[in-house]
Amino acid sequence: MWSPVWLIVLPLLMAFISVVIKKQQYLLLNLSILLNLAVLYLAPQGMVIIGGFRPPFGISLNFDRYAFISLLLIQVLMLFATFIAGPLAKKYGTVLLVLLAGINGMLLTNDLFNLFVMIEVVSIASFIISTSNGKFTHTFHYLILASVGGVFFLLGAVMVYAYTGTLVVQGLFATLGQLPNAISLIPMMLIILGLAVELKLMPVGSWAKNIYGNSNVLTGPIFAAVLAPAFGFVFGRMMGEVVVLNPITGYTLLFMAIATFVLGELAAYRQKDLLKTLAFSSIAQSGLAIILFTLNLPFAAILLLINNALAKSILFWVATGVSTAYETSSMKGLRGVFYNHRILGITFSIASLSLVGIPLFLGFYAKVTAVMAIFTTGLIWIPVVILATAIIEGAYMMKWLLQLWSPAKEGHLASTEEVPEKREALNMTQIVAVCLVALILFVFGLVPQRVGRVLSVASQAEISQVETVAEGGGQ
Amino acid sequence: MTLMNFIYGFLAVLGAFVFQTSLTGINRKVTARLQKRRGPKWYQQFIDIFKAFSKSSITHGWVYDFGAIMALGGIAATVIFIPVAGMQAFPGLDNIFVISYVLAVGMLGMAMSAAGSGNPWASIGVSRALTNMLAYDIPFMVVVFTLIYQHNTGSVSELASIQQGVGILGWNFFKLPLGGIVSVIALFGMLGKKPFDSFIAPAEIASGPMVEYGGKQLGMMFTLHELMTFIEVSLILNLFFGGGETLLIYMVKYAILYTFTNIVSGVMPRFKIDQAVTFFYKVPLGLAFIQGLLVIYLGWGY
Amino acid sequence: MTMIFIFLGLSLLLSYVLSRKQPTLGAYFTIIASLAGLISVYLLRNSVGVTESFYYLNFQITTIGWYFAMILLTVYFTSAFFNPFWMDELIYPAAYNSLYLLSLVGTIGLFFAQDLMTLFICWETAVWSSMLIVQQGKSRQAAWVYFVISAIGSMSTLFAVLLTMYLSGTSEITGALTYFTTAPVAGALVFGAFILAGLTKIGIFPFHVWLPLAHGSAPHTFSPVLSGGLVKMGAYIAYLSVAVFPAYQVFGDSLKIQGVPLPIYGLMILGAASIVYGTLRAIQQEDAKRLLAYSSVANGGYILIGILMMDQMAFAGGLMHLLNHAVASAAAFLAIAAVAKRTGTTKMSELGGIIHRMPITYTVYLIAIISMAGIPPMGGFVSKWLIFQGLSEKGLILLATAAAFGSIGSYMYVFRPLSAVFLGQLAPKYEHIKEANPVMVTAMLILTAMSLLLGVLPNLVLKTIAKIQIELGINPIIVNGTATLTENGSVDMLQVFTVFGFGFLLILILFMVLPKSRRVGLMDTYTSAEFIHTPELLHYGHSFYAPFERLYEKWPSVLPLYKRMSMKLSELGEWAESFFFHPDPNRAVLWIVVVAIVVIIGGAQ
Repeated sequence: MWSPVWLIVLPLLMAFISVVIKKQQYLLLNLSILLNLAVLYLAPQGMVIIGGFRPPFGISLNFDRYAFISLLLIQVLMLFATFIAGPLAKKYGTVLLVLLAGINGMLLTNDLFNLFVMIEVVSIASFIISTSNGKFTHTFHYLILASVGGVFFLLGAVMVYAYTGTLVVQGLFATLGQLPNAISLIPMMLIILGLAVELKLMPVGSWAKNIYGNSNVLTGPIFAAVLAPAFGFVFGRMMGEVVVLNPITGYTLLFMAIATFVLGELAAYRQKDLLKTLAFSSIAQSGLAIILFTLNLPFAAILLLINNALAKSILFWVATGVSTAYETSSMKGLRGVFYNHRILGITFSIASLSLVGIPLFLGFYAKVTAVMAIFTTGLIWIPVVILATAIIEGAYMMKWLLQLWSPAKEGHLASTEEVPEKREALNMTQIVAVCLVALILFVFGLVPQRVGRVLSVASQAEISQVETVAEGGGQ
Repeated sequence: MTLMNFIYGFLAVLGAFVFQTSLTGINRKVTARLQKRRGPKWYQQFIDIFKAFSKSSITHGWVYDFGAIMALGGIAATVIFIPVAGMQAFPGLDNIFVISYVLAVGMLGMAMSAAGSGNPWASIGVSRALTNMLAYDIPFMVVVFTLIYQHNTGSVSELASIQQGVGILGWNFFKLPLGGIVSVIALFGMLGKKPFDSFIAPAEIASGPMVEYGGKQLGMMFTLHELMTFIEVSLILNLFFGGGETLLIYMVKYAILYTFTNIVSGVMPRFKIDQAVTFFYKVPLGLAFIQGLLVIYLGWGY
Repeated sequence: MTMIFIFLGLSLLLSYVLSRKQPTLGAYFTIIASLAGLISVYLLRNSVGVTESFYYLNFQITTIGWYFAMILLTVYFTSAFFNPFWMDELIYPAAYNSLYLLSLVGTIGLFFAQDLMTLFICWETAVWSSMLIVQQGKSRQAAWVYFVISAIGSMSTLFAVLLTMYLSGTSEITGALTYFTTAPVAGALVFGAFILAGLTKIGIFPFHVWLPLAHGSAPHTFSPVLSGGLVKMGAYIAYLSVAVFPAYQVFGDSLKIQGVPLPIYGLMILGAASIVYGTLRAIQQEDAKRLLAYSSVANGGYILIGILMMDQMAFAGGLMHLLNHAVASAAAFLAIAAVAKRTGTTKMSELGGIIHRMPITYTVYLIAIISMAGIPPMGGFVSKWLIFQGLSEKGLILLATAAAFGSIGSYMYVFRPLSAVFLGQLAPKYEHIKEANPVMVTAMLILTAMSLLLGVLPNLVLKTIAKIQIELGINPIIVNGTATLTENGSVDMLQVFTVFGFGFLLILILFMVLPKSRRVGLMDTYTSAEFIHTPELLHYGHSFYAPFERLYEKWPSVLPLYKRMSMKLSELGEWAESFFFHPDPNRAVLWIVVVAIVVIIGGAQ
């Protein structure tokens, strides 16, 4: 009865229903998320085979701890995202349901081709959602890139099938590893490049700037806090089960990820627009997560993804809420707005401190875990790069915090007259919801070791493969 | 610390005052002779000071008086610390840093009193005096550090007694000639003798720390100047010219050294204050460094 | 000890709540809370060695930690007296009060940290909470620069901390750091990364840029804490990296200069550079708070040199100078704050003659600067004397020269506010101002009394320092009654003070005996036959040392260098943005192909 299949089927079913009863879209959306949570809680863990065929013929779902953690995170954030977006989410109810189904499928599936299908479903849904920004050119840009990426992924999957005769994700690396280097190289590259578009990896992630940078209270959190970690988790699964790296692909990927991280932070550093800053920050953080997955350090990566998802969702809610209310997202226009919105300001501060990795917050634990884990690979220069870049990250986040809190003119004491006139950014229930997420983040920060213990189980489930780039990669 | 210490201290201050003021008087005559004048009587300086003490005076507020008292008090205390021919009112308190910093109390008091008068000309004078101090003190300090390193003691009386007993060549002035020259140049700066007298500039301009003084405060400032001269000359005497085995030798050496500075000063032009800084940081500081490196790294002077 | 943290943690919440109701109430509460902290830490003086854990934070009481914590608490406690009077100037008073206590918790935690992780957590807490306080001052830029420079230090510490934990397998400070005796190469790396945090926080050249900005524009009540207190966190890190970390062993094989390994000597040279640079810049300043901030840069140099010496004299001097500077600098900043409260400005050329209205504040400032300049009989003299003796004993002539320069240069800059703010002509607009509030005066007098006490009876503190030296296995400073003895000199400050008092008494009697002076007005002065009736025009407060300043006014400043660096980073970001994140999808597709080709060509080989 309680099978993880419901996680995909239920939202899809609701989506169909919602087409019929348009008025109840929002209710159905929330209902399906809640039901999903119940399923998540009740469903037994393990491999689920659909249709009675054994793999590799049938479709199988891999519902392990790793999937559980990622699904839990996604459902919770989706719930908050749709709740806080309110009216906008009502309008896009059906699409959001499809998106949810797609994401859940992506995280659950144990089949490379199914994964492609799900990625396409998610992509299409996210195209549609991104149109709510009202900037169709940017959506078009995103569409082109995502399609190219999708094609690459499909090609990769097909080649993998051609060489190995199987598409089952679990343990695929073992089969692939036996292939000659020159043969496995191309499908691997295609798969990685295909995912790289959605992961906003450097040369191909250019769509993110404008999609994130013009986001509203719905799209910002959905992209930054739901889609980004979802694809992060998928990438993690791929790195753990499928991808076989050799020194060339390994170091190319590592280099791309580091470049994304460093240059993304630098680009964020120069932004004068709050949403664009957050956009580049998301790009950079995704780079960091990929560095960790590439080095086969899933535990640190998962921590980072979770911290980033929670923090980014809060940042985007507050940022989009405030910038919509004051009709600007520029540094000048938003100066001192938190004087009017103390609670939002405090949640924003907590989230940004956590994002930067300041102690007493979850982000610090994530950063420490990441650096300690990288030490074990022997690549001491990577922590140096990460910590040096963290200075830049801290610098721009603090600049924003200072700007948003203090209405003062430079060189003068702040006075209340300089505060922009108060407008409603988010209503009371929305604020309570944002606070709840902030509370989760804060509490996680207080008990990092407990969080870590839960997650370490998940990270062990992800790995079948133990090699890292540092040790020479590939088999 | 007994009552006797304090009585000796009092006598030291009195003796230093009488001795140095007489010497100043004599030197006024020497200067006059250099300029082909006859000059005043040798006790003219006493007359000047006591006249000032007896005159009516004005005050510009409590800090004006307090600064003057603090200045003269600090300087008097410093005189008590100075070892003269092996004699000290309070043995063990003659560390060179203590002396040079207690001296600063006097300086600060004077500066405070002058600035407290409310006269900007006085403040300008103070600004110059402090700048001048920064100029001459650094080369001198480098030499002092070298001495302490070499002899492993910071006590002035010990440093003086080390030089005694082996004749004139035992003097640090001959053992460390560069350092000796530097400190004599620094002495000119300390005493405000030409070419480093721009902060007082007694003859020409109406600015300088003393501009607002009259009556008893002026008398105190005169006294302060005499005592300060005593401290500074004694310091150089003890550090570089072997101090004195007996009081008489000490006084003779002292008189010669002081008169020497006075004569040289009589034929010198004057540096502007920034020129003085540049000069001190180019020549004496350079020499002092060379001396220091020679002593520390090459062991010269042992 | 855990109780202290819990107590302070609760009281910061309470002060927030109280301040929301009534800001002044919360501010008064910070006084009580910091006093309670002060007393309870003082009571820990005999429980050295006790370890306690609070959740995943581990603390241990050490003599040095206790010493540092006492300094910090003194500064926090006395500055707290000023808090209630600035509540109406702040835009977030409640946040100010609770962050004030939070930064206190962070710093105290730092000094009692037993393991490296606790150390770092407390460090960062203190940094960001104090940054948010600085933000409430006159400049966001200042708060930002403060954070960024601190972040450079924090991140390098984090690197050092994690690398140490990884290599040594333990996080307990002493155990982890002594591991490096056997691994000098990694040790050198860790040492470099670790000391960098100390340098940034003390404000050693070239990381000093944040001090004048942050101290100069922080709320007046917080500047004393920044300068007297938080800067000392850096000194603690410097202490850890040279005394606990076996720096002299790790660099045992390197070239030595007068017995000091070259890397440590290099750091000392940086200290000397900050002394000289801080002094020169302080002389130039027109704003009293910025001037004092630069003086903190210079004094930081003394502290760093002293601590790095690790010997009998200079080390003791460095540790004592910490306390002396904290007390003196806090008092000076508070005095300026008291003036600013009454007059609304800290610009020296706009003030003058305040002594005639605020004599107590003047006295406080006077004693503070006497201590800061190292003139007996105040505390600053003893510590500077010890440093001088130590330096000349080792023959480190370059450092000694810089120290002497800073010392004599300090007469120049400390005298400047004395003359321009307190002395000179009283402007008519300040005719009616009053002496500072009794509450503020109390705080200032406490610090003044401490300065004097430290100068007259330095052995009270030197005893504790000797204990620290014994724990570290270095030759301790010898205290004998009121006399302080070293290898190459001795001083008895009580006697110096007595003699000084004697001299003063003699002259006072002389002054009393002589005819009484007639009181005249300030404008009744000699003006070389000019007729000036405007007091402001007869006040010499601007460009006080013009001839001297002219000698180096064209010297480059360091801040533009940082600005240029920041701009270069922005440009790099702009380049990345336009190159890789261009809105044209064609480019992105091109990039996909480029990467694919690169991988295929590279991988096929």
